[in-house]
Amino acid sequence: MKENGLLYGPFTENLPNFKLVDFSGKPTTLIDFHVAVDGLEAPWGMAKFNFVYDSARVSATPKSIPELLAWVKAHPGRFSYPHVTDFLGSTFLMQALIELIENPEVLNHSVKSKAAFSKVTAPLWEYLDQLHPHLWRSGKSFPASSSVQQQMLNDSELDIALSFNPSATSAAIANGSLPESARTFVLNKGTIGNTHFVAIPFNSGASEGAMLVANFLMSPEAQMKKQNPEIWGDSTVLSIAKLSVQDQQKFKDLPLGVATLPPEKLGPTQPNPHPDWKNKLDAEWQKRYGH
Amino acid sequence: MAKTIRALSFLSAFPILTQLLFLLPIVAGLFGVLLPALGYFPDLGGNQFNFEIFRQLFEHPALPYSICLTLFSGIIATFLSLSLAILLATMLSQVDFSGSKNDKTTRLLVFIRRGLIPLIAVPHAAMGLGVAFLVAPSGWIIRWFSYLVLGLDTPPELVTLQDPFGLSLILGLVLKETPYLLLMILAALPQIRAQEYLRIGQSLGYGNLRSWLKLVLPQVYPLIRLPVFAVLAFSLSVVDVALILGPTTPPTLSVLILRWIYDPDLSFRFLASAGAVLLLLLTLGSLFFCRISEWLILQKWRNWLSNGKRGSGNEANKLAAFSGILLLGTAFFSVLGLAFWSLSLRWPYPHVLPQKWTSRNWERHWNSLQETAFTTLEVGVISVVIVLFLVLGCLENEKLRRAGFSIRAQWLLYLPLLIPQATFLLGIHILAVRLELDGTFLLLVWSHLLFVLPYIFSLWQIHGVSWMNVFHRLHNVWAFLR
Repeated sequence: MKENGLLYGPFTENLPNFKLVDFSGKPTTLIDFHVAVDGLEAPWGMAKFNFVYDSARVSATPKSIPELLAWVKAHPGRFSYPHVTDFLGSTFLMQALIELIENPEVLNHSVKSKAAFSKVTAPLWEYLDQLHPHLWRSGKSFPASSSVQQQMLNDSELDIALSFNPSATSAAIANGSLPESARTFVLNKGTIGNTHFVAIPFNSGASEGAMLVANFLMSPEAQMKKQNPEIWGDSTVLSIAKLSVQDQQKFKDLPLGVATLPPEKLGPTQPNPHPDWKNKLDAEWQKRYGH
Repeated sequence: MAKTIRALSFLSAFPILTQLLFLLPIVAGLFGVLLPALGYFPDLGGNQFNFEIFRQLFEHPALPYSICLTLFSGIIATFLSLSLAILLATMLSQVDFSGSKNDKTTRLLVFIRRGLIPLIAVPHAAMGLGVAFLVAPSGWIIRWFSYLVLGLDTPPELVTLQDPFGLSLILGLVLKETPYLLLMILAALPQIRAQEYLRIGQSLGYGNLRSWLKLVLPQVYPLIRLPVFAVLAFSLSVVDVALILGPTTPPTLSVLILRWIYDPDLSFRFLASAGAVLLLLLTLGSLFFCRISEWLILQKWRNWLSNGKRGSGNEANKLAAFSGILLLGTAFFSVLGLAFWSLSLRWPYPHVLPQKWTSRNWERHWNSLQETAFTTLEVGVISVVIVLFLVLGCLENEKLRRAGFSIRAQWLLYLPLLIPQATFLLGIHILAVRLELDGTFLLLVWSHLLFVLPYIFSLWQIHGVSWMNVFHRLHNVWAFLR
């Protein structure tokens, strides 16, 4: 959209609450999938890839992508990932790729050539070829979306599912869509994390109103309510240190949520690969497994 | 005399106005999707016309399976719905609904008829969700089975939902389309004086089913042809039911198009447009196939129709009653399941009833529901009033001119139901954004008109004779009072 000039702005510098964003601690608030935001999008929430499992049925959780394969082999039919047309499905591919190759650095740049792509991604396809026969429905069909997958976890059709929000599981327990025994885990080497934004289309008829809303969405009040796992459980983009003492205290008083890992246990955050990789991985996946 | 002429010219505006109102957005919509399919969409950097997008489309690995799945599920669902509707009609048309007879069979038939017709009002997506919960491997049927017989801790590894052949999708469609076609058939029966034919057939020794198939069906079918075609087109292009009940890897063509529309990479809009054009061609091809099949069946059965063989044929009643009850039961439990879900806080497998009940879902969404419900009602009432006004105007015009609404015009009015929604709605959307009409009440009502008009017109077409009778009577009363 930025390339084709379809975004209104830049506008974020004009929003008073933009100053409260944690740019140094959360650098992805300025970069969206390797593209500089340049004031065209207002940061809204933080996300990080994690796994959800039912602790009533799973005792030891895998700590790495290879360990996940071993677990799936031991528990056939109990794991799956969403179809790659769902964002979470393609994030799973990227997560596996990052861990399976020796030099994940290459993923930060666009794909150089077809040959380079096949060389870099070969370990991923080898891994998936081994993984798929042991997935739900033998890897011949995939859940359409992450919400469908969550429902399947709730109904014991799966034992492990995926999430892109560390607090979402606590929120889902609170609203009854996951069992009380649902918990989350991450991988030892870290998982992909990023920021989600709101933007205004170039042809919006109400850009002033939209800016007002974007500013409100970044306000301590709105961010606090959104982070509460009983409401939504979406982590804030704000720097707590920049807030007033009262607001700092209110953020501290927020419940963490029964299934949410505390920040120190969430592990390192890995950057999203360049979007070029995502598009080419999705297309190659479609060719290999999508029909 | 002058008055009549003025009335005539005033009324003659109605058919033209009606057609313009409906053709304009469809033609605009088709252009809005054809241009990007041919590579033209300047805002996304497409400035040249070429067939490159179609080449990409046909190279897409999911396409061959998607096409087969779409055709299979759409055609089979239509065939089953039509067969079931005819079977149910043969049974229901025997009943004297005046209430003079009150035996067990009559009561059962009245019950089936009263139960089936309201199913038309259940939204497709709601029925889809209900069916999904009923048939899923962790769904209601298996939960009861597990509770009463097996005691399974984990749901069995059965492929009962989103199966690769689209069987659960077909089930969902049949549940919704059978009552609609049944209503159309029942509405058409008085017009062809079916009861008289049935009585003649039976007095000549043909059973009910045979009289039906030989005497009534050949007369009814031409009247319900357009509704049947609408069902076929709908089943081929349906999005919501296919999302819920159809397979995912890969899905039907309509869902594939939807995924492309919502892809964060906007260049997929081109592919979505080309897919929408392909869906249109597939639909037109299927309608043509349907018409050819009609002709072939007629050729094959022509001799049978007049071979004079008798037989009671009443065994069909049992089958009809069975399928009617099965249909009603499935629909009833689907809707009941949904109602329970709306009142449950927690209802995981293997519980047959919610673990915790709550009114929270309703309380939390009540305010927004009220507003949405009011808008829905408002749009519904306004579009029906406008359409009734237009249809009455067209009918008056027809009466005064003694000219029928031409077959061609009827097909035009049916266009919104025969062209896949994904095809022209995407185009209308693109244009509406251009004209800054998107999200306005005007556009909302207008787009509803597109679908309300064909339904009301089809009912009028089927009820044609009775309408004319009413008209004559009212006209006489008016003349008398004057």
